[in-house]
Amino acid sequence: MLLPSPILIFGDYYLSRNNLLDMKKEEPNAKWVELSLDKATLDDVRTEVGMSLWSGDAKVVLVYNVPNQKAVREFLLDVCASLDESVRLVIWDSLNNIKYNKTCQSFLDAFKEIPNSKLINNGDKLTEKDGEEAIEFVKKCFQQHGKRINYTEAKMLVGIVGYNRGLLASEVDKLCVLSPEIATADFILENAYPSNDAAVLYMLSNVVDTGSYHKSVEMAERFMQIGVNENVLAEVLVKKGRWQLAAAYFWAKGMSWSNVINKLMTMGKFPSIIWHSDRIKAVDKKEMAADFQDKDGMKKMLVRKLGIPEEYFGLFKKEAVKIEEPPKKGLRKKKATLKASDKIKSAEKIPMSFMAEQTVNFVKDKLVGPNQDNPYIKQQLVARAVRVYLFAQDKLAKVRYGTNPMQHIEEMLAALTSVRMEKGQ
Amino acid sequence: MKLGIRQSVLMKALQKGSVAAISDVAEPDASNATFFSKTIKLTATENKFLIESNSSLMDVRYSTKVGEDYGIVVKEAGSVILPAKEFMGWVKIQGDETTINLTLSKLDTPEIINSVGGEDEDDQFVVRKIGSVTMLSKTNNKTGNKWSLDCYDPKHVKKVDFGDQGQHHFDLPAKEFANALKMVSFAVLPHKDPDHILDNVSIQTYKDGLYFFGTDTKVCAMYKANEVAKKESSDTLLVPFNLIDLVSKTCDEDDMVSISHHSANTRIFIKQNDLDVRFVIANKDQTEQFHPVSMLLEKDFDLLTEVAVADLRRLLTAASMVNNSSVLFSFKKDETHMTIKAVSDTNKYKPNVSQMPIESSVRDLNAVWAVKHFINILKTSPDESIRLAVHEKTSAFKVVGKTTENFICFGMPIRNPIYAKV
Repeated sequence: MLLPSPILIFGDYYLSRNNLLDMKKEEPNAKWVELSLDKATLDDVRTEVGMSLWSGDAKVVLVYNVPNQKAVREFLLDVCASLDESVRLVIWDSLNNIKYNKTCQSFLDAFKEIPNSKLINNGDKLTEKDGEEAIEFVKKCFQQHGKRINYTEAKMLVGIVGYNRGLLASEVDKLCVLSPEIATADFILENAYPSNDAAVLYMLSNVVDTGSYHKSVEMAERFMQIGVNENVLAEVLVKKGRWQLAAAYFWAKGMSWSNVINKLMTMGKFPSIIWHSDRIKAVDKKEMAADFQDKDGMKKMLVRKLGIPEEYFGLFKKEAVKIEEPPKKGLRKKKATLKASDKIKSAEKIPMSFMAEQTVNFVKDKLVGPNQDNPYIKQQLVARAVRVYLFAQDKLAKVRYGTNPMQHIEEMLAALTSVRMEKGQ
Repeated sequence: MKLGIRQSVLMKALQKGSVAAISDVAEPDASNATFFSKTIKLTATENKFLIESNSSLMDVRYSTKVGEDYGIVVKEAGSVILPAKEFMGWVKIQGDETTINLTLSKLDTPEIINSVGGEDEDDQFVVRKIGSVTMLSKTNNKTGNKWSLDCYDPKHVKKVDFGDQGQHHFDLPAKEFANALKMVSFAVLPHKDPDHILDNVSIQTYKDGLYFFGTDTKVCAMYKANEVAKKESSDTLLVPFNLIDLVSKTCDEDDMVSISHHSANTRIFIKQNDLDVRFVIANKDQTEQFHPVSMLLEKDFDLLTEVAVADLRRLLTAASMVNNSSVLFSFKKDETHMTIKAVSDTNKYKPNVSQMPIESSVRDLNAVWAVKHFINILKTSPDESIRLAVHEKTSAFKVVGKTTENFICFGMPIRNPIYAKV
């Protein structure tokens, strides 16, 4: 037998499942007996673990769906302590109850003490709060394949695939087959499979910035084939039109291309009084804005710096939180609920600097080109950007309420990728 | 198609021919119309009346001769597909004395009622309704019932060839065939073994004997079949238990059943009179993963004692209330009683202790055995007493009936430290 025993697997569900598949590959001739503790009893566990096979072949008992009960954990420790050579025991915490916390610490410590035991910790489930951890995870996966990925590209991959270790790991496995020594942004955008909602924004906006109408249509069709709603695609394209407009406007106002990128990245960031100040250095802006990012900080900024009366917030709260009247007499009153329409939408931000950079590069290289000194070009550029943006807005309505959404999306893509400045092109 | 048929004749034909469509174990039927319901195919010719049912795992065909002597009069040959459950349900309630007339009324143009790929008639998933079959039942005193069911295009059902059945294995009386399966059924895993090995029954030859063998790895049950005739192959077969068991219950008790095996197509063919069944079985690699009976039959087990089945079953049932998995059996040399002790693994209950008289034990022994499995052996055993033998080195047990020696069971001991403390 190759496997150590007992083994405890806990943490991320998908990685744990991968561990099990690897183990099954390691022990192809062993008889695997799987016991789910929501059906099997502890007596069953004891019986399976205590019973060798007639043939003398290897036997692996997998126990999963372990309930979060101290008595069960103690029972498993007891079983682990009396294992025989002929039977291997694998305990999988598929319900994600075991963590390095006060409740489980003594169990984990006792498990580690068992001779020949192995603990596999696949880490907690990732969420959007764990962005840095996800990025580190991606970098580590690349390293395991002898490849490298930088921070920005890793962040982009997380954005495309989502916060799921199992999906990220399998995506990296796939990418590393083709990846250059250091994975580039283009490579990621070209090859990563979009599992996350934000992937549409990343991938579609990237292809639009290449200026290729055909590639853009192809990408839009690909998204529609995998079930992305046409409204989502149209909204991304309107957003793209807005970024082009902003980039054109800032450059026309006299900013350098690099400043346009920085300026685009400050779009939608609070408070604008800091982010859009010319007197504050770019490096200090983040630190100064940090105090105003939570609800109280935001209120403090609006009241103290912008002079909005404090009572307004009370009024706003009263109006936003409505108590719905019970529909019939005698029924219990419903709790106060916030309607979806009452929520404050967060301002539009460009999620990553490479996206601002790509938008600016499109405007600079494809639209303006070598004619930067032409006095009329700025005027024409802004006029084109406004025209394209309004056209995209108009088409968004047609995608939502019209009959042939793909045709309208194709027309939006034609406008966004068009490099002609004159009206009517 | 137009025919008249006696209800009893039609019912018998349906009970045999519709097995693949009626039973859940045979998986969805293989016709396009399975989108709506499980179906059977009825074919009437000048000479024969056929009922066929097909599923992804199993094909069944039952044929009977046509003529007044056989209770079937065909006025117009033809073929139809009908919803199995509804048709059989209606036929069943008509009563033995009735005659049933079936008449197909064809539509001028078949109606396409389902197509996955649009309205294209060539769509492989298309279902064509060709008309309806009017079913009229009548007794001599002119009591009758009339109903009709939609009928689908017979081309939706694949044509099954029962011609090339490969190697003939053996013939066995149907009663013995069903009994052999019944005797080992408790040891076969339900149809959920992920590897689909242990939910099969293995049919093996050992020293000219034909053994049916089932195991869930904890207990092994084998039955040496009697009255085996025309044995022509000693190859081992590994057959899905739920399918072979279903067929055994369909066969007529008094007639012989013939088993053939097409190894290249991994199919088993079971034939009895006018009934033909074929279904998918395990391939050679899977078959070899199953233990050979010789592994157990050639092991030395020393006779320990004889025990009365009914008493032991009662005591083990009481013990299983405390521990449903393992109990401690204690024997003392030359003593004429044994002790059974059950201790709860989770300390939920106080220990349960029983004592019962036995033929004197030939040696001292303390062994922990699986209680549920032991009870199942006792439930299945046809004898009033069993002989209990033990493997000296491992404490594995062997149970053989005192008079019927062709039912043999084996069980492995369990290492359970709670009994070490007792």
